Amino acid sequence: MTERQSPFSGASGRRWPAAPFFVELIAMVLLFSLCAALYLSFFAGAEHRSKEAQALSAAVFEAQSAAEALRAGRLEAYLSDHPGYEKMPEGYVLSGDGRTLSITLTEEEAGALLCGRILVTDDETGEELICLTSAALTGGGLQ
Amino acid sequence: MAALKRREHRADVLPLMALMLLFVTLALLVIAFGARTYQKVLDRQESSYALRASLSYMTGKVRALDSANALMLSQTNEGMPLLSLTEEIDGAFYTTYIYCHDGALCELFTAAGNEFSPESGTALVELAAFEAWLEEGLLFLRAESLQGQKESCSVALRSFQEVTLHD
Repeated sequence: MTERQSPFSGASGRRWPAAPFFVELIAMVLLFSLCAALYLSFFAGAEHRSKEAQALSAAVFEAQSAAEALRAGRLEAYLSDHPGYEKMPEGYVLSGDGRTLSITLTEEEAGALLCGRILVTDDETGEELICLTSAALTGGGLQ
Repeated sequence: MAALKRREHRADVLPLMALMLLFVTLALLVIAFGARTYQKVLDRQESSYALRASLSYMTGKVRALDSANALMLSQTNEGMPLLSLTEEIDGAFYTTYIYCHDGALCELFTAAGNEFSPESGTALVELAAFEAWLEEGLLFLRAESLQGQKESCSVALRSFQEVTLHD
């Protein structure tokens, strides 16, 4: 009857792990680490994309609201609800919630047509989230 | 001799058990992290959906029923904002009430003049609260999801000039 051999004792009975078992153990640990890293990276990616989607959704609402106000000629009313906005030579800049909304008034023809470029950028990455162009008739421009 | 072998055997098993325990702990940690991330993503998705759906619904309703004296802002008995939109259908006036009740955005369509009862409305989407205020012809809407996330938007009222003229 043969004695059962412990994985931590070699064939000669010395007190260190048997080589095949040790290699197998390292391989298993590596495989586990690889799977865990892959698994975690998938979840990290999903969370990042979820945050991006949320930021994009908020940016769309902001840009649409600003465009609507500009189109209706009520940009001042829109800005008055956003304290802390800055008036620039070419338009307005609003910052908050990690985003910057800039309204650039690009064109004005004979005081009748006002065009605005609305851009929302991410403060952290500087990435452009959404860009809209809106136009409004001003000062009795229909005549 | 037998006692010595048993002690040796126990000493061989212990590192294995420790390794196994470490492996199981790490596996559990990875699973816990994954579950937490998944839950966070799901919550954020639900919250975004609730905010988008409610704000889009309210802006759509306001645009559809935007006419002189159609829009009114007041409060429910619970102190929650109440958006009322009145329209004329075949000579009779009807009011659409939009409000928050029991953690949901609700809509109640009833004949104008009927008493407002929040329980009678239809729950549309889960929402903790919403605010609405009017400023120089712009209707500002702000919604808060059950997860505490907030979103706002504004709608330019076409009927604003007429409203101010009547006032």
